[in-house]
Amino acid sequence: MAEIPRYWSIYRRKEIMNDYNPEVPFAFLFEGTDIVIPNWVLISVAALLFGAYILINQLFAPWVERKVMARMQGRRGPVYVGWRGILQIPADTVKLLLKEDTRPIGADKLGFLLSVSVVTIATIVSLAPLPFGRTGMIGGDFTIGFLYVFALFSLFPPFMLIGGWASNSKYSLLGGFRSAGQLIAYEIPMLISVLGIIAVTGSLNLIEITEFQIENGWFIFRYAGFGAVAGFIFFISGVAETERVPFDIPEDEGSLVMGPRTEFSGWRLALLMMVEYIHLFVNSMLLIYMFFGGYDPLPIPSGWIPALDPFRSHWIVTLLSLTIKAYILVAVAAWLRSTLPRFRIDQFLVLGWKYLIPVSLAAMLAMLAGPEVDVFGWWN
Amino acid sequence: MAFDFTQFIFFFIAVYILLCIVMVLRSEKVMQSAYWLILMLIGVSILFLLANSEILFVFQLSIYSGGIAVLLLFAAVLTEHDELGFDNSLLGFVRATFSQFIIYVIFAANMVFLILNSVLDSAYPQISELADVGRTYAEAWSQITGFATYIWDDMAMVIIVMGLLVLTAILGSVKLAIREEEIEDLSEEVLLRLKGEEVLT
Repeated sequence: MAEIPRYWSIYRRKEIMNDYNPEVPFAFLFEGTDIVIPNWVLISVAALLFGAYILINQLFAPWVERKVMARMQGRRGPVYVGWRGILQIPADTVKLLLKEDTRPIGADKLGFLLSVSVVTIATIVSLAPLPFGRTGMIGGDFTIGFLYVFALFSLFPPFMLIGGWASNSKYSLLGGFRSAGQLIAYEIPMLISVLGIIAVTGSLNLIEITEFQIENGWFIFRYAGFGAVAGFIFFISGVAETERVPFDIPEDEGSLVMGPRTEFSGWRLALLMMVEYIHLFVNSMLLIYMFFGGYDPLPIPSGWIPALDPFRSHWIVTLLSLTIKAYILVAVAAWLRSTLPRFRIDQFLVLGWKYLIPVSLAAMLAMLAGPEVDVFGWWN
Repeated sequence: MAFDFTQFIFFFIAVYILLCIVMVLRSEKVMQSAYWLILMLIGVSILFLLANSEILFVFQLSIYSGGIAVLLLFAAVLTEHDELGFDNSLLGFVRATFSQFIIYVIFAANMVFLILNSVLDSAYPQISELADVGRTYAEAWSQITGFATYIWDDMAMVIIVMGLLVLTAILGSVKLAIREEEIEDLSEEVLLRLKGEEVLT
């Protein structure tokens, strides 16, 4: 009986992870010692640690963004609560949670609740396939990691539209329409820009894509600049997906007050704000996994300086490199937000459908051309 | 039989899907029916995840609950749906939907019969083994043929009934979308357009 052929990456991954059990995080700390700790303890501790990590980042990233924006605009940003205003976001959250829960007259009760809850659940669940290191620091090791996140984010357009409709407000409804149109238009270039990478690595799993980059160099520097083009398109689409300036057309405060979020207040608004920042965070993480080498701290192929390999795969180094890269991207998003004016909706849709999609197709074809256009290929 | 947690989740999700279907039929507003339908589609995608077919989960979620749902919502928002087509009472509901209800009952009875048959009867071992589709071509082939036989021999009736159901749904949506306007109320421009004449603006 013939074996079903597997992809290259699965063989390679088995070599790299050898006889390590990726379902149990931190088990490697006790290898070779007499200490035996049950798996459920390790899993619970890891869940607590990573949950706390994400939560702290959610409270910290908006502060970084506001500070960066303020410096760029010649302001000081939040200063009063805590050291240099670092506790401003937790204080705002507590304030929002304590506020009265209001619902507009004539609002559709269930739709009003559903839009917030489904979007929140989808966002939190989308954190599962993001690996924080080589050694099992991952929530759910899916074979389709990237598509999984993508599918969960595709729940946003219908539920933002439902939220807009259920608010019983014209601003919300128009904002919901715009939001749905925008999200649909920018999902396509986002997916096409990474198709080349998926074809080259033969995998959708974020660990395998990262391991491929550790062996062969980061994708952003490869393929004679086309890697950078694809990365740029992915980043632009990611910013557009999170509906932030300069793409915050659904929340156009001059004409639509706050778009689909107009009527939400109290804990609902707190959840929607959290969703916005987790969405930004996850999109930044996806960009890092796809183009910036994931948890790899160095952009060069691992074969060039083999002595650095233990350093590169250490779990503290991987976690730190991911965090630093994510914060750099948050700062870049703040930079865009503080400098660019808002697009008009027709300009925005023209940019998506007429420019980004063809260019991302070209970048995909260049990646499929392979080593002929690869910088690291020439040097080798 | 040993207690299986995924089986418990399966029945939970199945009940949730049935509840969503009932709510799709029972909702007063078209938008409410639409979001119950989307919730039902999400439930189906979770069933795929339970069956270890992650790729089907992704397609179900991104295509049906994402893309098609937005189309459906746009269509629902743009339709006239302020008035109910029937009395807002159980009798009115039954009177308006008895044909769909009969088809639904036939469909549901058929489904329940087949599911009970396949779960209780050991004649279909391939269904439970689909999760670990084999290591070899031969094993995978036997599983696929087993599944195909199952679908096309015993489930053929269900597919026909499902086709009827979709047909009823299409007819219903056409009925919903049609606007009955009094011909006198239309403006001259629209009247000219209806006659197929060119309108100078």
